[in-house]
Amino acid sequence: MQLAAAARDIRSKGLDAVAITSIFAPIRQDLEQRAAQIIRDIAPGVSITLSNQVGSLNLVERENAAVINASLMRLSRLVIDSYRQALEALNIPARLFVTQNDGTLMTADVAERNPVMTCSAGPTNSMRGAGFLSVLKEAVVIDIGGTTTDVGFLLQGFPRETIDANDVGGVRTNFSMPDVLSIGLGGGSIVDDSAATTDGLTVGPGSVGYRILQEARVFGGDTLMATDVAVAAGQCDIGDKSAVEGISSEVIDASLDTIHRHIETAIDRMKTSAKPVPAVLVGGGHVLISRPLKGVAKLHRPEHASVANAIGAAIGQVGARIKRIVEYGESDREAVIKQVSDEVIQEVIDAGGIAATVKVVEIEEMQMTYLQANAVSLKVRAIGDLAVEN
Amino acid sequence: MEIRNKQDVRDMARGAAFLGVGGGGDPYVGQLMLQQEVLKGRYPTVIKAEELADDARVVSVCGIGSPPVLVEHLLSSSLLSKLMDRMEAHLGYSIDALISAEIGGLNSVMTLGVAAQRNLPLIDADGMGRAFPKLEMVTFSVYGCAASPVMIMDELGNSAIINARDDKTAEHMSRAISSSLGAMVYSSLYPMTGKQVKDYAVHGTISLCYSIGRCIRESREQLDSPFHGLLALLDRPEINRHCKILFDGKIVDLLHEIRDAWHFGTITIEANGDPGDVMVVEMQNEYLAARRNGKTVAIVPDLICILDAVTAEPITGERLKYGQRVKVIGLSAAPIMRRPECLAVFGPAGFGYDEPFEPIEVLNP
Repeated sequence: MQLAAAARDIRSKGLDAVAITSIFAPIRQDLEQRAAQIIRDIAPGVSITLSNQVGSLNLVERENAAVINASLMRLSRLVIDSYRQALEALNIPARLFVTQNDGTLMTADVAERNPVMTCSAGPTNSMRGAGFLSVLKEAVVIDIGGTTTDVGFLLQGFPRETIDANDVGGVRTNFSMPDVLSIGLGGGSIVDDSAATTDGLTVGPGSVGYRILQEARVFGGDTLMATDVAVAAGQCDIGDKSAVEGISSEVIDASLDTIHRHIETAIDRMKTSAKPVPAVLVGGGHVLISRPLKGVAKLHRPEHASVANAIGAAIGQVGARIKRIVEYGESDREAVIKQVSDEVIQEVIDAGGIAATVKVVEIEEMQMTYLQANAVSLKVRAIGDLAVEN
Repeated sequence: MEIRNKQDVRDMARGAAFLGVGGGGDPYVGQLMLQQEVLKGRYPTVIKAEELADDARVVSVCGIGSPPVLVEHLLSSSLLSKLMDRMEAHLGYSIDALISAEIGGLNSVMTLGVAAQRNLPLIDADGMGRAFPKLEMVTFSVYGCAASPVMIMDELGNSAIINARDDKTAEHMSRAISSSLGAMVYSSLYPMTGKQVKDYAVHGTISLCYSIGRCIRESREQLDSPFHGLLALLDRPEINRHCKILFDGKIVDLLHEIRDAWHFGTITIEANGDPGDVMVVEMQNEYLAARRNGKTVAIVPDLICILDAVTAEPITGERLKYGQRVKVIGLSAAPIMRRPECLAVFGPAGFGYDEPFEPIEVLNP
């Protein structure tokens, strides 16, 4: 009755997205499914997020994830539709996949319903791409873009994940995210040399963003930005070199000092020990760096560094995860694990994985304390290579 | 100490996770409740035990149940207030102050929330200086204060009153009620006088808890190693408090099993770069013993904490994972906790270990 009233309210207010959270939903999905049916009957056309599809045990975090997901629904439909149209317009008859936060792929349909699982895929892709290009398993990755620089860590080829603060704008969630420090420094960062001496010169965090192609001096604009300095210093050959010939060597030196100092500070904040570490420099803004960096053992600047992000997405594997509370009888533990493993393997295959390459990579059991029943929270995760049709 | 804003609440909860030594229930649920009170402008008042009159009436509040169930049940703010109303009606007098039975985990943060809500002072003390799995494992019980009457209530308002002959029986009865009500209930128990609190509680633990949480945050903000800060705060031999970093390594194995509805586990940690150097931490809901290459380096009731090796964030038993880089820290239990009569209840013997208690400062000179 209350649900029906809520559904009528949703209809009368013209809301288009609903998040439904029920306690213990990861174990019992049927309650949320029934609630969804009641809403759908009264308010057809709303998009519905069920908490069990985006989160695991922990009511508050799961509910937050469901609410964020529901809020992103309209945007995700718009974005995925645009991708589809773009592929059509370019006459590319390929299947569309979207990268998730953990570096694996999901189909566009799944991504459209689960936008929250894609929200920090950008830095993950860059880091995975950097690992692929440099063939390093452990390194600090510096991804310099147009507006910001992301600094993260590769561990065993995958991005290090955040431990404590799975906070999205102060809201606690339970999805894993890469541990990345973003600073306001990129190719489009504005160089402010208006101070009396070069000591007062700043680079970023102000930036021209996507207008770099109009506003940079090398592109005929009149804003001095980091890319102009890199061209003037001869670090790269972009646009019209003659447009930056007039910049004094003091300004160039001071700008480069500032840029390198910002990056070094960011690396230092992300490092886990004082020991120098190998670093991989990627992203279109990698040209800003021309000197050895403090705290870095060896700086790798792989070929194709500027498209590491796209490469990271292209090497994505298909993954799936099931987290469920199961009851082990006297002797059927093996059988239960086998059954859940088979289910998750099937999910990977359904999502486009090649059956022969799919393997279970993680089995986690957590006993439910204080309960007499032999209840266990079982998490199984599998990944596989993506089937690419010729 | 004052808890006036969200940051203070978080610091308190972080400290409670540290002193929870792996268990005690996720402080987050209590954190949300306390935060709500603080945001409404209802701040908890923390007082020293000596500020209490000898005949002051004091009780404890605590959750009884399963940690995984706890994280699926939100704590309604009216529930604990109703519980207190019923406890006062049953006792036939009004309460003057609250004391947390257990500083580690959920219970201390939750009791601060109740104190704020009821405008009652909370005493800067508790009954163990850490977390323990059983109701009778408190100094109050060791020194003859009875847990009964225990008022139990669940979120739907079902309630029960336990009058048990001894606290061990009260534990069994409350556990049975908790199981039948969905494995998460709340209780008010251990009615005591101000004099009893002064004589038998573990003192200063609320402020210690808050200091630990704040110390970890501030060290991080100053980009200093949080472990330097923690040692400076906690390793103070002049006040008979000892703290040691026992191990630094990577979790290579986790073994969990349930026996008699308790969570037993073994955590194996390998030293960085030396697979031959191994620490094993044994747990029963909380971390109980740490052994390095077979040699005991810390044992209950001394505290064993497993922290993230970089951020020093305390990691509870449920959140441990393969491959995590961790540091193991040992902290001496308060002197009262190490007396023979206390050790008989919650020393090694209380957990079925056939070995004597040895202080952490003796094991790691």
